[in-house]
Amino acid sequence: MTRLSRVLGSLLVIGLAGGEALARSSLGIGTAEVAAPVSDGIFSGLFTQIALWQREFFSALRHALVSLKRGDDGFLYLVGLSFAYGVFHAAGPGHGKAVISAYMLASRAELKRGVFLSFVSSLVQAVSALVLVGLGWFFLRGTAVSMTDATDWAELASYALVFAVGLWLLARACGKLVREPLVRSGVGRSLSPFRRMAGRDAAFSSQLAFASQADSDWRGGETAGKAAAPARVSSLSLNARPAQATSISAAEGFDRTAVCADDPDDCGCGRAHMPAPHTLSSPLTLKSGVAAVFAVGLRPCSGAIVILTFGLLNGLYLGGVLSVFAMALGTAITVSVLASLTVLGRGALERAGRFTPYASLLARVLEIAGALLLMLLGVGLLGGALAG
Amino acid sequence: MGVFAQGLALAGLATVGMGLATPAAAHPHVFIQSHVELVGDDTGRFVSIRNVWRMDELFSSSVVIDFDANATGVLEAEELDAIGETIRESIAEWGFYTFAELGVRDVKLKDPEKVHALFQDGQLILFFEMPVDEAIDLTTQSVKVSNFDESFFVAFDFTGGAEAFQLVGLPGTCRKALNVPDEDEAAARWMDEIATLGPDEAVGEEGGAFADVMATRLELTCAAES
Repeated sequence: MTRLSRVLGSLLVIGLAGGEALARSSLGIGTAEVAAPVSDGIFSGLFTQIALWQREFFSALRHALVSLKRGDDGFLYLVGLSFAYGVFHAAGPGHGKAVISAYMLASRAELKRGVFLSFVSSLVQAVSALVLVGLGWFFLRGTAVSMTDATDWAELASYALVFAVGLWLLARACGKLVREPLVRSGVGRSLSPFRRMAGRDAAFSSQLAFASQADSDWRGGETAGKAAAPARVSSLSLNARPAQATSISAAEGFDRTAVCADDPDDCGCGRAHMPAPHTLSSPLTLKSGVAAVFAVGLRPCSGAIVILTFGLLNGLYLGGVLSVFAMALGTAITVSVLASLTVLGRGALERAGRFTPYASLLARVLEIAGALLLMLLGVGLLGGALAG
Repeated sequence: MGVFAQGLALAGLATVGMGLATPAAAHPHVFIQSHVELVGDDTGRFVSIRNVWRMDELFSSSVVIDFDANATGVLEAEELDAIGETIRESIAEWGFYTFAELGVRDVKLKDPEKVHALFQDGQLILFFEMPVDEAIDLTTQSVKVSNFDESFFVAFDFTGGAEAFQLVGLPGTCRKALNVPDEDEAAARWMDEIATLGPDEAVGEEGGAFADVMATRLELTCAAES
């Protein structure tokens, strides 16, 4: 347990460190990406290099737009450059990748959905830039609200959503944790479930597994009536189990609290097998997925905004819009690679731990870690943006 | 599957999380072509720094959308004043992006009273003057002058090289020399500085700010050549 708590603790610290973002740029116009100029994390060298490349790309993009305005033929070059900028821009630090990756960790979404979410959130980001620039030009001019204000609000909404999605997933993961047989048995025996998780020797853990079945049976028996009570005593003997299991299964047929929600193989305890909650919760996952998409996408990329404003002012409508969508495509590719890495990493970790008695607890811990990471990101980003 | 391997795997995942959540160097989104005038008197006293900044085309167009209060599509005098004032208030926190160094310390500069703004050929131009707030005799001391943004939002280009810095009113004996750091070399140097920091030291406290290391500087002296 100390190991798990240490990892969780370090995740907390990381989440807080990740939140130093300011909405307003140092210039007072335009939205800055992150306020902390450079951090001394493990990846600072890599990020410094990426930042240098990004700068080169952004300058090249600017020159391509200006030459297009002059009437030079550079349309394809501009679109290609925008795509490359999208790929590299997303490779740098940013909230989109962090949100999608943490979401993938917390929601247990599959690989396909991760890639899909990455693409949709990048698309939403492009559309959000279009909407904000359109609003800024056609509706907000002459009002007290500027496009930069609107962008700041979109950013705040985006960060608030990050927190909300994290909270939602945390609640869900905690719900699942409480339903874990290992935890339930611990609670049933009036012992701390956390001491169970730390159970180091396998013998003790396998004893636990029997105990857990006995507990469930006992609970089922109680609701079913006195008939099951004698069976509870014999349930401690392995041989007596099948007979006892059938009788209780029949008796408790309608008792929902005794229904086993795990895989059929894990349900040898005589409780009826039901689909696991996470396979039933797809509308919930869909909802949180949509929220995650907006959490990423509402906050537009400042590069996309300036490119669109330049296109708008200089009549390069098609160039501006295509450039922004090419950029979104590039971003989507990088983000989906990171989302896939998260899913594969999670899978590898769970496979590695599958033979340990707390395999499903490990899965819950990863979910909770992801959800906490999201919440902390949300709090940090919100705090930074509000302070700025 | 040992407990050790599992812990290692979790640590690995946490490291990935750290990388994703760490705010590191954002790249600049605004580019300024800078022209700096170093103003002195004929005795070699350092009087003021004047900045003339030509903002890049993309940023300039976003400014039109933000500040075109009467929706004419053009920026008029009042709107330009509003831009200058917004920028003046904001960059005050960042030393007006203007730094003059006397050895290891910064020369005291007075805040500009006004940041003037112009809109010309689709580009916003800003200019302002910062008086030197202490007596500096350039015949005995040399100063290094630069424009940079520690927040890394704005990047300064001195495209004219040493010509981007102009000496005004100073005696003819004054000389200027441009220090342009090589980007890769500067990045390597910055990494070295970071590496020597203690665990509790913040980046930038000891003059290790990335923008600082990367900045182009003009060294100015009026001392007699030896």
